[in-house]
Amino acid sequence: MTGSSARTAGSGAAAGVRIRVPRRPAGWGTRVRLARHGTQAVVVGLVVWQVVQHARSGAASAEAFCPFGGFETAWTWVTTGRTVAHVHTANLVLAAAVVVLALVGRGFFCGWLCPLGTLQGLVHAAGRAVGDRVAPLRRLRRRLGQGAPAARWGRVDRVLRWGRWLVLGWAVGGAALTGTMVFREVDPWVAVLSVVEFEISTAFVVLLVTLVASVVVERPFCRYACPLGAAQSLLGRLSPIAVQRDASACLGCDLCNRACPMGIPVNTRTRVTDTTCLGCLECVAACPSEKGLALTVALPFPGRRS
Amino acid sequence: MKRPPENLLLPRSARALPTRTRLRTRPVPVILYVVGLLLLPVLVVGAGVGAGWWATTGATAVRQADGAQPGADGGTAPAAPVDPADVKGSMTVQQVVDAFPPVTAAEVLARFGAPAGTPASTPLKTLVEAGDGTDIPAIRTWLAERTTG
Repeated sequence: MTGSSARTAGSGAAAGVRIRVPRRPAGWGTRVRLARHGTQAVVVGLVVWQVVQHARSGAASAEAFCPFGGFETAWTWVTTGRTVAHVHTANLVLAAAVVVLALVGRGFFCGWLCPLGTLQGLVHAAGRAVGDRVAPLRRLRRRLGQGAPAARWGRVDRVLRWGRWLVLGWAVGGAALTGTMVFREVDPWVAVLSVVEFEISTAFVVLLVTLVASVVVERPFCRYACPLGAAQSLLGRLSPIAVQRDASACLGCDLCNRACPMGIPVNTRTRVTDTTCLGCLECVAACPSEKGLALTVALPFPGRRS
Repeated sequence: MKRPPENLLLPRSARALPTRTRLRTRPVPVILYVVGLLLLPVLVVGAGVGAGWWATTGATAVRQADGAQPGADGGTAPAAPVDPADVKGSMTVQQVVDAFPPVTAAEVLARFGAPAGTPASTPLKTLVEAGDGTDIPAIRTWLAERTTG
């Protein structure tokens, strides 16, 4: 707490006086969101450019730039020196980049770079915009978002989140055992890349289900089925960077919880080290209190605790 | 337009003491977080490219180390495989010809039932799609027989 009008936390509480905390500068959250959306737009632009180049002049497929291919082929590559079909050494290099990124920045790849996440976010934003303008939908959302339906959905959501671990095991294990990309058949990203071919495949159906579900649930594929996100979650446990909440500056306004695309109850955490955290900083951008939420790095050497 | 107040009032139930963790932490500026983490994958990919591991088509770097010819675009393109089992649909007719002497482009095109004037830069998968039903596994088998026989 800073400024002459801010009372000290201890004395203020003891005297029953409301404590004042500094507000974030105007537009700070918007700038953070703009930086993220700008980065996502650049990545999507690069993917679109690659898809067009592939279709027009036979350049490498955008699939060659998917880091999960590297995870799928890792075992085959280590044991035989070959990659499984549809995977090249570029996928391995990108997988290494994602490993390093997860070890340092947790889910940064998912939150700032993954184009499939961007696509789901766009569909969800469109769905929310429609829901905000249509009164019956708004009422329905309010009714389902509280009480027994919300509690029931919370339980289902918790169970479904185990799905991505199962998918990770199946995709990596299946590729190691069979030497083929078993996940490719249902990979919605492959369907996105081949959408110009209008081929109705299992992957296309998964993509369709993902996009329809994105209207009501934010990032459903990331929450329930993404094997790359699951792999990064495991590595991200070692990351020293996390969003940290200062309870003495927390307004309890719930804006951070509502902003989190993965539904993490941020205002109940001290450090947000959840495996589903995308590092998107939406919670930090939404927090009106300057000291309420901050990005922090845990230092490895001993010293005074914070 | 009315300016928002500089300070916010905490609810009466707010905890008075700052949160403490078991860790020693320091704040990270958001700009440093974003720029640093965007640079990190760029550096890893740059290192991969520099080490010659970056290939977006064809066989693996391990095969390159075995002494096969590098691609025509300066070495980061895929090496030609030495094993017919490594032939992929993304490889061009020319890459197959280079990798498996004495196989000629005309033989490969004839195998797929493609016109003789088809450019050697055509990927095999394009020939599969437009061809007479010959697929990549069949070509691998044929190449294995052709190079050993």
